[in-house]
Amino acid sequence: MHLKTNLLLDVHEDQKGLFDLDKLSHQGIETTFGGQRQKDSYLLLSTRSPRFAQQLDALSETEQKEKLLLYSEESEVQNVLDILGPSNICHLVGKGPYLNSEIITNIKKLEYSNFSGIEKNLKEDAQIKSTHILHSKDINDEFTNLLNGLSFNQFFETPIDYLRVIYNELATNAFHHTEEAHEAQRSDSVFLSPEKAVEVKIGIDKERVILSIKDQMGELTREKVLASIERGFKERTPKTREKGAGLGLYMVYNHANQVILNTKKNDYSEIMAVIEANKRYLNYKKRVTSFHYFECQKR
Amino acid sequence: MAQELEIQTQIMDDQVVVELKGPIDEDADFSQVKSIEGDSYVFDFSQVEMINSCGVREWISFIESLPENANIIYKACPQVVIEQINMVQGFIRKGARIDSFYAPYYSEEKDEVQSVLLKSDDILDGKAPEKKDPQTGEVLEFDAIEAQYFNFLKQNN
Repeated sequence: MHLKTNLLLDVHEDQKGLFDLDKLSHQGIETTFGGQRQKDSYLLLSTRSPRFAQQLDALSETEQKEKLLLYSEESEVQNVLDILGPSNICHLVGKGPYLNSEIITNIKKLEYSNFSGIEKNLKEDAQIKSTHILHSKDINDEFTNLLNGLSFNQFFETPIDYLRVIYNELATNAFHHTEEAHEAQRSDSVFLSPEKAVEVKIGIDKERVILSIKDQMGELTREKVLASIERGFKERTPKTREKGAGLGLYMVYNHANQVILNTKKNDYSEIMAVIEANKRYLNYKKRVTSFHYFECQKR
Repeated sequence: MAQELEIQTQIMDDQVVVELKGPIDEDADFSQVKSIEGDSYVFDFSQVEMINSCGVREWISFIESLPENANIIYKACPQVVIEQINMVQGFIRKGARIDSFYAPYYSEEKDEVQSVLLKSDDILDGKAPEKKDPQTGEVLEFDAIEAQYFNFLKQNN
């Protein structure tokens, strides 16, 4: 199926060079700078656009969720506390080295209403490994198994250290938010039946490594995830009276270059964390984290 | 990777030296250290592979339980531990300090990032010290944002 859609870029003058219109056009996304947005076209709006507030106001709530990609070069704390938190924006694209690829991937997912799975965020020659985990105490061993045979030559020295933290936080959350873990403390074992197993995937291509943790419950929402991340940025201290420390998603957001949440209510929740390939740790840290939320409505 | 945190302790010149190996997580058990009375504690983080959010909580609870006037030093903190310290308040208790830590330096000749051990005392005015590649003598480029990476030093004081 060949994609054919339109994208209006409303950005600051000095940001225009970031966008590869030929690459976007080759993927079926006809792109223009400025002008009037056509009905059903996508809008990529920069926080530095002179028409930022005006453009946001002109969009309906549905359009903001489904047709808007917000481009930001702001800090993580500003993006979370001032932009994502107070709004219902579902797609924040942070400044990064694979901007055009990210735009194409997300518009395709929106156009085809086909969200779930790390395959859609990877090139065709990607290496992908997966496993299902039934026991919470197997989380760390399974991570080691998943990494076997994967090469991180195109990355800075220590991406595995950050992947390990991200993986541990997301997998632990997936176990401890189940019915089976209702009475359990975080140090307790949680056992799941095969049909409720936590599904973990890791995929790597020349531009990125992606970790996906998928539960079979479907209770996560954009609001729950962002509330947790917001709390982390505001409080920066662990909760002491609850099972979880309340910092896990905040840590994931800080360590990942992209955080992608796919949900289908009462069916599954999938969180994906992307770390993009580059040889410089500095560039990894300078990358403004993107956030994407997709809600599957299909029966 | 070690499944659980391993802790080895020894008393050296009135200091309790604690070597930590593996993950600091919800299963971390520091009771072995709590049972040793001391005026000075040195925590070697060089073999800590991960600290998760629950591990941060366990650590803060443990470190707060040590005698109030104890001298507390963290040494050889890996990059990922420094990142967690910068993200969370309370990891470095008041009066505690980070003596040494690893930081990223980039070699243009080799196109690689190297993890270099730095002493906190070598960070002057928030600037990373000059480091050279041990094999080629190339002057390496500090590969992080200084204000961000050295943020923990403000907690040090």
